[in-house]
Amino acid sequence: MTESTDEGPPHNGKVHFGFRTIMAGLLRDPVTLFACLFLAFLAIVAVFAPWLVPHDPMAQSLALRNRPPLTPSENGFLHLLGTDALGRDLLSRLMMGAQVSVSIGVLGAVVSGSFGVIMGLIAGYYRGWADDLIMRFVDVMLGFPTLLVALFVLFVVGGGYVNLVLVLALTRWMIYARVTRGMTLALREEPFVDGARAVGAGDFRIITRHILPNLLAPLLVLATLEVARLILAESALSFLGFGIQPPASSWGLEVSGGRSYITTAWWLVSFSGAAIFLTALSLNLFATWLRALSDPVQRWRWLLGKKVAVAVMNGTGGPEHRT
Amino acid sequence: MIRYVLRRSIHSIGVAFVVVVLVFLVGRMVGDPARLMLPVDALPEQFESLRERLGLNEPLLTQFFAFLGGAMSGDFGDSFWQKVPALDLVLSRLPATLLLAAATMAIALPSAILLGALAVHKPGSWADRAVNVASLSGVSIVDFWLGLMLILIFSVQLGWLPTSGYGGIEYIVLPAVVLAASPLGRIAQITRSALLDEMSKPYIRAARAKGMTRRRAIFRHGLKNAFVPIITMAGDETTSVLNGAVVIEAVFAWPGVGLLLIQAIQRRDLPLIEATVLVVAVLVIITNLLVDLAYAYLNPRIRYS
Repeated sequence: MTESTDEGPPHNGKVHFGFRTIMAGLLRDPVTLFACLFLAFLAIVAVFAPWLVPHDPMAQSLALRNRPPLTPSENGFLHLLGTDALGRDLLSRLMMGAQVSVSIGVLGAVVSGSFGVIMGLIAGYYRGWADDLIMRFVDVMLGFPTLLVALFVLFVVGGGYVNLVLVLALTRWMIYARVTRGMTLALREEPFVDGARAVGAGDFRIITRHILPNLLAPLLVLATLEVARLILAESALSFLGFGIQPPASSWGLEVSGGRSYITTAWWLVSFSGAAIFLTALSLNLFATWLRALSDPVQRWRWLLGKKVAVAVMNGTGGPEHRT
Repeated sequence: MIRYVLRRSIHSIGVAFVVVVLVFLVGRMVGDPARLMLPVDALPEQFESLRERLGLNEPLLTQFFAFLGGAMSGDFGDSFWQKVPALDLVLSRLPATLLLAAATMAIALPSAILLGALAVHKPGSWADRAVNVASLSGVSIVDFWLGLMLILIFSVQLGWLPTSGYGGIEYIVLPAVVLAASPLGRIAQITRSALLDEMSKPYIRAARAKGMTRRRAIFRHGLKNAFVPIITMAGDETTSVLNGAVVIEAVFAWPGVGLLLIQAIQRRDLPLIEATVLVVAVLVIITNLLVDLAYAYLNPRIRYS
C-alpha cells in the first residue's frame, strides 16, 4: 500500500491514492466506516482505560449489587451499563477488560507473527532441509486440536497474562509460516532479487530489504484477522477459567461472571459478549477492507465508486454484474 | 491413489506420535504429575507414595516408553475421579460429541451453500452485502456468548427449548445452532468466492448465451465445479467444530468429550485429561486424513505432487 509508483488503470481525471480519496471512499461505505471508527475508539479506550474509567473498576458495593443500566451513583456519573454481582461498575470493568483482551490479541499476533514469518522466510528462501523440517513441523502442528492443547498446557503451567499470550502464539504461528513461505518462494525468483544479488547484496539484506517489504501488505491483513481470532480464543479460555484470573478483568471473564445471573441481570452477559463480538466483527471488516486496498484492481474500484471503476476498466461504461 | 493413501496415512501416524510426545513432555516434564494431581496442602509422604505408585521415580526414558506403550494399547491408567479406566470413560462420551458435530455440520453446510449461491446470484446487490455481513458476523461471534443469549431468549423467556442437558431432539437444537455459526460464515464466504470464479468461465457464459437463467446456471453447473474448495473448507471446519465443542458442551452441559475434559481438569485427574486430549487429537487427525483423501480423490493433481 505504500508503493508510490502504482498509477492504477488509465482514465481521464487523475485520482490520487491518498488521505482524501480514502476518506471519500469510506463515506460511501458506511459498514467499513463504522468498523474503522469502532476500532479507533477501542484503541483509545484500551490504551487510556485507567484514566478514562468513570468508576473504580475494583470498588465493591453491597448496596449496588446487580443494578440495571443507567443506575445513578454518588460520584455523579451514571452506572451506564449497570453493576455486577459485587456492585462493581460494568462499564469500567469492560474498559479495563478491553486493555487486557485487546493487548493479548495484539501481543499474541505480534509474537506468533514474528516467529511464523521468520520460519517462513527461512523455509522459503533457503529451501532444502530447513524447508522440509520447518514445513513438516507446520503440517504436524496444523493437525492438532489447538484449543485442547492450549487447555492442557495452561492446566500444567497455570493461567495468567504471559502464559496466555505464549500459549496462544504457540498455537497460531503456523499460518504465518505457510503464507510467508509461499510468497517468498515466488519472490526469490524475481528479477529484482537476482539484481540485488548481482550487485553483491547478502542473504540478510535481500531478505530484509527486498523480500520482506513485499510481504508486508498481505501479512498485515492476515495479522488483523489473527487478532480477532486470538481475542475470541482468549475470551473462551478465560470464560472456562484457564486464562486471565479474577480479580483482574477480561471480556471472557466478565461473561463467565455474569453467567450465574443471566436470568436476573441480563446486562452482564449481554454487554460483555457484545464487546467481544463488535471487536471481532470490526477487525474482520477492517481486514476485508485492507485486502481490497492492497489489491490494485479492487483498490481502484473501491476508491472511485463501483460504477465509475467498472466503466473505466472496461473502457466502455455501463454497470455490469461481475466482480 | 494407493501410494498417496499410504503416504498420507504415515503422515497421520507421525502427527499422532508427536501429539503423544507433546502430551508426555508437557505433563511429565514441564509439570510434576504428583503436584498437578494432589492438593496444595498434601503431605510430603503423600507425594512420595503417589510418585512411587505412578512410577515417577523411574528414569524419564523408561517412563516415556511406558507412556507410549500405554497410549498405543489404549491404557492410560484409571481415572482418579471415577475409578474406571480413563479410556472407557472417554469412549463412552464420544457418541454425544460426534452427534453434536454431525448435527452442526448438517445445519451449517446446506445453509452456507444456499447463502453463498444467493450472494452470487446478484453480486453487489443488497442480498450480496447482507450475506457478506452475516457471514463475517458468524465468524466473529463469540460462540459461548451466543449460546448464553439463545438460552436467555428461547429457554428462559419463551420456554420453547430446554436450557441444557441431553435427551431428545429438542436438546441438540441450541448447541448445534451455536456451533454452526462460525462454519456457516466461513463456508458461505468460500462458496461465494468459488462460485464467482466459476461464473466467469466460458462454459457458464455459453450456457447463459443459450438462454439459461443465472439461477439455473449456478445450481446446475457452477456449484458442481465449485465443490472442491467448499468440501475442503467444510472438512477444516469439522475439526474446528470438534475443538469448539469443548466450550459449547460446557455451556449446555452436553455430556460429550469436551465437558469431560473440563470436569477432569477441575478434578485434576491427569490420566483422564491425557486420555481425553489424545482421543480428541486422534479424532481430529482422522478427520484431517479423510478430508485430504477426499480432496485427492476429487482433484487428481494433488495425488502426484
